[in-house]
Amino acid sequence: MCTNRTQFLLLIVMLAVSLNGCSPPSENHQEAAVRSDMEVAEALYKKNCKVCHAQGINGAPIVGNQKMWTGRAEQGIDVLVDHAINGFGLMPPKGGKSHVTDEEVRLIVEYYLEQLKKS
Amino acid sequence: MKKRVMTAAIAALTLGMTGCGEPESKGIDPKIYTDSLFAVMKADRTNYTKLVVKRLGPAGADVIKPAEHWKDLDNGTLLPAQMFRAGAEAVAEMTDDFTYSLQSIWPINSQNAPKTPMEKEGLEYIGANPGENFYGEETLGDTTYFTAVYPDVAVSDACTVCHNEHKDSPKTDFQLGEIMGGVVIRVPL
Ligand code: HEC
Ligand code: HEC
Repeated sequence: MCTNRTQFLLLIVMLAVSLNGCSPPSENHQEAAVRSDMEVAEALYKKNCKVCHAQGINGAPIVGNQKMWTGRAEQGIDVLVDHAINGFGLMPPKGGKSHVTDEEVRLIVEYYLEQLKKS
Repeated sequence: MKKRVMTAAIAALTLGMTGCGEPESKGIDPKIYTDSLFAVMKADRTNYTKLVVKRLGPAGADVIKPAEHWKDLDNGTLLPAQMFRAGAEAVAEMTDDFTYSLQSIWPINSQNAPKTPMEKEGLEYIGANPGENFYGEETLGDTTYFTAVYPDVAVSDACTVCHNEHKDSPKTDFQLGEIMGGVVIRVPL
C-alpha cells in the first residue's frame, strides 16, 4: 500500500540521490589515457591559444561557448584542424605559434570539442 | 489527495531552490559591468578591423588608407588603436561614471603608459597570464575604484610589424599571438 507519506519520502530520497549524483564507476585504462591526453592538450592550449580563445579576441570562438561554436564544430574535426594549421579568416596559422606541431594542433582541437560536451 | 501532496512538495522544493520573494534591489557586480563594457569594445574593435579596415583598406577594395597620420591623407582612416582611443575620449567628455583606455608597458605613445601602480600591476599580470583578465581595487584621491585590465593581443603581422618598426616603440620584438597591451576600465565604487 502506498500512502501519501511514503510517497513523499520516496520523492525526497529520489531528489537527494539526483542532487548528489552517483559515484563514478572506476576508470578503465582507456579513459585514463584520454584524460591525460586532455591534460596535455589543456597545457598546450593555455600556452599557445588561450590568449585569444579565452576572450574571443578578434572574434576567436571562446572555448566551451556553445553559441560561438555552433556552425564551426559541425564542420568536423578535420576541417577545424586544417583551419587551425593553415589559418582561416582572422585566425592566423597555428595562432602564430609555428613551433606547435600539427599533431599538437589536432590534440588541442579535440580538447576544444571536448569542452563543448561539458558546457 | 496524493497528487496534492506531490505538487506541494515540488512547489516547496522549487521555492527552496529559487529563493523567495522579490529580488533584492542591489547594484550590478562591478566585474559583470566591466566585462560587459569590454565585450562591446571588443566587438566594435573587431568589427572596425574586419568590416572597415580589412574590407576597404589595402588588403581589400583599397579605397581607404589606415595610417597613423590619417588626417594628412584625403582617404586616410584611423588605426584601430586610434579609433579605440577616439571612443574613450568621446566617453570621457560625456561621463565620469567610467573611464577606459588602451595602454601598454611598451607604448608607442607615452600617454598610453600605465599611470597608477594598479594599472602597471594589471598590465604585468595579463602579460604573464595570457588569456586572463586582471581585477583590483585602487584608491585615487578620496575615491575607491574597481579597475579591470583586459588583454590586447597581436592578432596579425600588421600589429607586430608596425609596432616593431615604429620609431617611438620601446619594444621591437613583438610576436604574433603575444600580449601587446591591455584595455583598462575603471569604475568608481
Ligand atoms: C591571435 C589570436 C589567436 C590565437 C593565438 C589562436 N587563434 Fe584560433 N582563432 C582566432 C580567430 C580570430 C578565429 C576566428 C576566425 C574567423 O572565423 O575569422 C579563430 C578560430 C579558430 C578555430 C575555428 C576555425 C573554424 O573553422 O571555424 C579553431 C579550430 C582554432 N581557432 C584553433 C586554434 C588553436 C588550436 C590555436 C593554438 C595553437 C589557436 N586557435 C590560436 C584567433 C586566434
Ligand atoms: C600602421 C601602424 C599600426 C598598426 C598596424 C597597429 N598599431 Fe597599435 N598603435 C600604433 C600607433 C601609432 C599607436 C599610438 C596611438 C596613439 O597615439 O594613442 C598605437 C597604439 C597601440 C596600443 C596602445 C599602446 C601604445 O603603443 O601606444 C596598443 C596596445 C596597440 N597599439 C596594439 C595594437 C594591436 C593589437 C594591433 C593589431 C590589431 C595594432 N596595434 C596595430 C600603430 C599601429
